[in-house]
Amino acid sequence: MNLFDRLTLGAARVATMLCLFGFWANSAHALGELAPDFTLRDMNGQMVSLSDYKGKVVMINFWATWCQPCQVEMPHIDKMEKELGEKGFAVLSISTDDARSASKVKPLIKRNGYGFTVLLDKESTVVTQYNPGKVLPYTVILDRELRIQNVHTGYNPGDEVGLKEEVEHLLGAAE
Amino acid sequence: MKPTRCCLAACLWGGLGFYGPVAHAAELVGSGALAGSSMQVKSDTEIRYHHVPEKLENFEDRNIHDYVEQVERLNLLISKQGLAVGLQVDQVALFANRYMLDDELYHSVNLYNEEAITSPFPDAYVTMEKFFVQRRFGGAAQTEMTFGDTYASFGRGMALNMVRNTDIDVDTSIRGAKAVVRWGAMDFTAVSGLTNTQQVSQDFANADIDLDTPHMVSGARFSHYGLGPMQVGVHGVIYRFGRSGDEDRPALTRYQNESPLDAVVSGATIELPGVLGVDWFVEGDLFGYGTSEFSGSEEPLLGTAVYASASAYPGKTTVLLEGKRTKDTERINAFATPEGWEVANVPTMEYERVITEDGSAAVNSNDLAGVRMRLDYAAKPGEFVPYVAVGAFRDEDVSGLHFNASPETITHSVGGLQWFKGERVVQVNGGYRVDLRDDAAECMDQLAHIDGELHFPLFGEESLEIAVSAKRFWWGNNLQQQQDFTEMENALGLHHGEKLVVLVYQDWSDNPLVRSEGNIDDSLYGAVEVHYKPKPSMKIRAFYGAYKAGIRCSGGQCRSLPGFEGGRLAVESTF
Repeated sequence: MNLFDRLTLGAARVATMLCLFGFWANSAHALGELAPDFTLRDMNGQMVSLSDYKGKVVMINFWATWCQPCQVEMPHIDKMEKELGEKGFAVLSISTDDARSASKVKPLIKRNGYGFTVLLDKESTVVTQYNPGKVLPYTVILDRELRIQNVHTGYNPGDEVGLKEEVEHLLGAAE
Repeated sequence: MKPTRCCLAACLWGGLGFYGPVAHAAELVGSGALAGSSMQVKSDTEIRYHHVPEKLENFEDRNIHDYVEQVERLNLLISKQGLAVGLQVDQVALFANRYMLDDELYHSVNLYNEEAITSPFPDAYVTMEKFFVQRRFGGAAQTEMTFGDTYASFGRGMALNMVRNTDIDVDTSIRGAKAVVRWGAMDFTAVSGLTNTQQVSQDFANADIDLDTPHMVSGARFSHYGLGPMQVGVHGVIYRFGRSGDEDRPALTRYQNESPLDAVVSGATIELPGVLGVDWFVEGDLFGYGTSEFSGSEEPLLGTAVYASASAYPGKTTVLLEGKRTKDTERINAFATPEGWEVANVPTMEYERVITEDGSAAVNSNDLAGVRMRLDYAAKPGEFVPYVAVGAFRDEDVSGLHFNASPETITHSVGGLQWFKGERVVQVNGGYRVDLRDDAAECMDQLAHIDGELHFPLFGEESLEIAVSAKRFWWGNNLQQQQDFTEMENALGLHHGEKLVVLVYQDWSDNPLVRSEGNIDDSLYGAVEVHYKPKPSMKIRAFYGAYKAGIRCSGGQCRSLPGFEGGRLAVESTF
């Protein structure tokens, strides 16, 4: 059997596997389900639960101190919360740094003057439920009922424009 | 968006594709226990064509070693008020991985370690990698019970730090039970179970998949957040490590031998946020080892670890000062390290992005003291922030992969800046490290490094991204003398709006410890990749070319990454 034959046979088997695992079946899908509730401590040791934010449009942003794109995105998220906070928008910024890096989180937030709420998920408890993949940053946008309205993986400069439009749409839709 | 409604069975089977293109992120209806639940599905699919440049004798005209690999990771989460059920199924298959001619097998890439695993499907593997049921009581989760796969980390991770490390594709959970009780200012966590190592890798070539050797881990931690400005915590962990061959024995009989415990770690933390304008933290741990397998010595061994940090924010300046002293703490990983993961880590306080084979001393030493200070000046907070950092370590450990026969003093200075202005981004870091040995005849190792990323708009929706990373290493004199080397990883990316990115990669390495070969010449690697985001929750990546092997460290762990040559197609989506 030559390489071409092997690849042809292989491709057929790949296609079968993909179907088995629902790759092609995923063309139609719906978001809109309730976001799983969670409770974490913030940087000052205060307990914060997602359910405390019912009635607000919420952006959950997963990041880490070693993630460079996350740090590029953060000033835009901070600006967004400062602009739209009064209209009912809130950011839950969840650091996925493990325990070893916990000392780096607060200095990073302080030196950049960010005002959003920062939660520590040192044991991967929440990120495992929301983002079982490996891409950071990972952003989830919830409506006022805390239903997931959109999910964004990764960040490239300029993405914040679309994020803000989505948030403004949700804020407007509820008014 | 309006959720699609369907019954649970249809959703599950639909998710597996048997019912064809049905919708399956859904709010479940009916009268059963899952009525009113919501479900999320996340799928990561990757197909890789591995090109192996080796040729088989007498078959020089054919690429007999080439093969195709397909990996799927499917995550399912069903949640209802206070209840969550999660599942991760991994599947891998190899294709065109055997070369036969006239019924004679000339070459094969085996998916399994065939001595350990027998399967009627030798080229395909499906496993339920993770499974958990979590129940929360008391409104905002005052009590949280988890059964199945869970993670745990105490203090700064020195006694126990079993969490996901996706950066280097390490994911070992504790399969058992975990309880977290939060009562006002108090937290209590207890966990017990057997370790469950991820078997299917998403990032690396899958071959010779073997049986797990589970290790028993049990621990508890109590934290109090409200003692005036003080937060205190105490914790203890016991370990009983599995031995090779244990995997064939029933789970609970593996640990019934003369030594019920291999290691006991206990420790305490004190945190003083904002006292005298400084955030203080200190942790101390004691490690008791029960067998000679950790050290080779029959004498009982006691390890100690202390870590402390202080951060202050005067004016526009942020100062972070860290210090540590560890002795015989890395031995706790003696059983897990050969399996490619670790049960606990001390903060490295190093710039991990540039750690080389030699530089990993600061990560894996059994006798280390060090301090590091980082100073940031927020000229424009969130926009323009330069920094400098200086670390100094004293490493007395000369065993293992330390490449030095006498103790050494390490100094590492790093500086850099971030500048964010609209869509313009500049991030630059550079540094110089010296490992100076006590024995003058051994001289010193030196490392110079620079990395940076630039992103700026061009015209319309177009923007350009440039990423560079280079390091030059000079060896001192030692028995394992290696030749000096240079390594580079560079990329040029053209972004078209949010949806499309075209990237060109170029790697370079003449490091003889790097076990890969360039596709352009021996040291030079080239590749192109296209990222396409048809919608925010879906990303498609297509890659063709080669990248180099090398060591990568993250989260206090280092992993030797294999190189790659060939093509990859990956689809990542959330539903």
